[in-house]
Amino acid sequence: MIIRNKILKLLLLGNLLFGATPTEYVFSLSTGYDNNVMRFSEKDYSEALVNPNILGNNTTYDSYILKFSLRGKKTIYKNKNNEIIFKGNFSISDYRNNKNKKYWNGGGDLEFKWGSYKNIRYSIRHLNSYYLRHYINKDIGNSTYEPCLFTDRNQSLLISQKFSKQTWLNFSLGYIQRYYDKPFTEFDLDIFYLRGKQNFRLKKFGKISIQYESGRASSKSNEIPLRPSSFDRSYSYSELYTPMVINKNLIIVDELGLSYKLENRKYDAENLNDPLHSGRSHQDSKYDIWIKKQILEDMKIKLSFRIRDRSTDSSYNWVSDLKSFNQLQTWISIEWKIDYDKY
Amino acid sequence: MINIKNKILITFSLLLFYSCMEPNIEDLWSYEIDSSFETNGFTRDISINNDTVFIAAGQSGVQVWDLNSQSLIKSFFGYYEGGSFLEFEDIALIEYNKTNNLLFITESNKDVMIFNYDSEDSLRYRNTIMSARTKDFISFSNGTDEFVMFSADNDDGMKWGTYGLDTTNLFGIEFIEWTPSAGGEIYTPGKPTGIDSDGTDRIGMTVDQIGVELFSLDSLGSDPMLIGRVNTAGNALAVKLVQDGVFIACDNAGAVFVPNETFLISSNIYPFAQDLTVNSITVKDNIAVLSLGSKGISVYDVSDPTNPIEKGIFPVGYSYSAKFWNDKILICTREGLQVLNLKL
Repeated sequence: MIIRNKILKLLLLGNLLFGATPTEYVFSLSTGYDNNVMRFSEKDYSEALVNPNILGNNTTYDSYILKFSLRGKKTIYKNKNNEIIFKGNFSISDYRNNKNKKYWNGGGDLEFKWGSYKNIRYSIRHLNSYYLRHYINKDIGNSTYEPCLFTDRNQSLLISQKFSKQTWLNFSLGYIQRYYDKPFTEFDLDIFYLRGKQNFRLKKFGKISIQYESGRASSKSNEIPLRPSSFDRSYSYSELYTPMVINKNLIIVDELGLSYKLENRKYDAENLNDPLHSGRSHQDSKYDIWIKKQILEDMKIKLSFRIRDRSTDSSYNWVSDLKSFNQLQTWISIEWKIDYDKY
Repeated sequence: MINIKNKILITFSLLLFYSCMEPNIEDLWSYEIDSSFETNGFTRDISINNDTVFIAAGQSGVQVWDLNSQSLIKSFFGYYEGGSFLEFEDIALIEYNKTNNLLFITESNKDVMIFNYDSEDSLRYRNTIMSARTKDFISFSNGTDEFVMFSADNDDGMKWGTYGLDTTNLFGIEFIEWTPSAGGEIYTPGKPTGIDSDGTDRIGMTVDQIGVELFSLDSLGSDPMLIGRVNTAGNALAVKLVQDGVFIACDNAGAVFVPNETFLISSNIYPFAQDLTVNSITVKDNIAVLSLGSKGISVYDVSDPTNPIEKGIFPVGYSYSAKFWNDKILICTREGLQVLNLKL
């Protein structure tokens, strides 16, 4: 709550501190639908018929979602080509049909820019108590389900360099602290990653990018204190992301976007007592499509659609079945942009 | 320009460093296995005398270990009676009486055998007391050459007796037995499964589906008097007396704390660990150790016995029971005797 208030204050009162340049605000209101909020596999769906406890205190697998977002941007220093820009964002999400999934996230960017696509940027993002689903807390019992939530603190440093009029490269390194709420702290992870992104601007078409990320998640749960859930949950991952944005020569809409994201994850665990992670890997594919339309001078509407498919591989068939799932999400958002300039 | 970039880089690095968050800390207890005694047979029960532990090692008979050096002092697969060597079948219960140098041993579902054990080399059979289907017993020295025993007899009820040393010399052969001078039996509906006593004024006995019974004693050796009976969920298997009441292991219904006054006037009982299958329970100070069979052990903070707080399940093997030894916990398991350090 303290962090959330700090972000909001920074976002809304920033213009009072640095009043020489205008502040750009974007308000966004979204509504969406998620057909598999708790990422249930087919096996979970079957289990839920005989054991509704795995739903926690929820009654549906799917949910409507309401989301409010606020973004802000302000140049706090400008001298010829050199600029220091502060950006902030905050959003709050409410899964209307799920009692546990209500969370906020926010963050900020501090960017030093010395030319077009030439900048260095520090980013911090905070995702607060994000609900996954209910799990049995095996540290203290055999059958009592408790909500499993985690908080992410993601910090990254990005350098962008332009190579030609149409191409530029982003390189970033980041550190995510993924810490779970009680009683599932044994799943805590420290994740380091490297990311490279090559961007191409194409005439009369739009933009295509290709991004590759590689990371390492370290678990300390196999160390003291020892408990039934004390297993090494470290993993390595790689991720390929290819977004394509078409914003030229379109009819009706102003922008059409398509993207494909593929994550490969491989767990380190080889402990026979931990079949759930031992020798496990998965491929997580996300297919996105979206369109944007400017409906007023300062207002645009966005429709988006995502299909997610996670396929898990394990030497135990029941683990493969348990950890594979499909998900479908749709969103409609209205964005209202305002510039605040008291001068 | 380079100077500005360096400053920016340093600023960003400092931001990165100071913006980290701290993980949540769960208020669980931890453990480490200090040592493990390989007893070949299952470690079914133990009795501790200072730094020596007597182990009911199932089909491996009786073993005596030094806890400090973790070394086997002596192993007994059987005993001599009437010139014949009789092999132990499956030792389930054991208790050492230091005052009289006696070992009380029970095979599964049988009566209590008395042995003399006063050196590292010999285990001398004396005689048998109580009766078949003894599920649990506890004894107290009543001065030299006398002891009092209470037993949970699965087909009768509670049996007790005061036994004295009886030495007879016939034709130059010395016959030594422990014979009853007083005792009796209190019939109880149901099947007694476990017993515990403080040796001064209370006895608790679990009676399977019926629950738990509390008896009073005027003094050691006097006739126990039933105070009350409290029904518990599941099958009451084992009982542990504490100052304010009794803790009961209730099989697949978990465990329960019953305050002393509940046996007289109220109906307050305090179940906990209800999703666990609890075979036995032991308590010292604010720590309760629940034996869970194949799941290992579970530990609870019982500073407030009416509100036990779960502190962790430890997978230490198939556990039968546990006892405290100084600051350590000795766990009787199918994999031998495990010595645990509990980290609060």
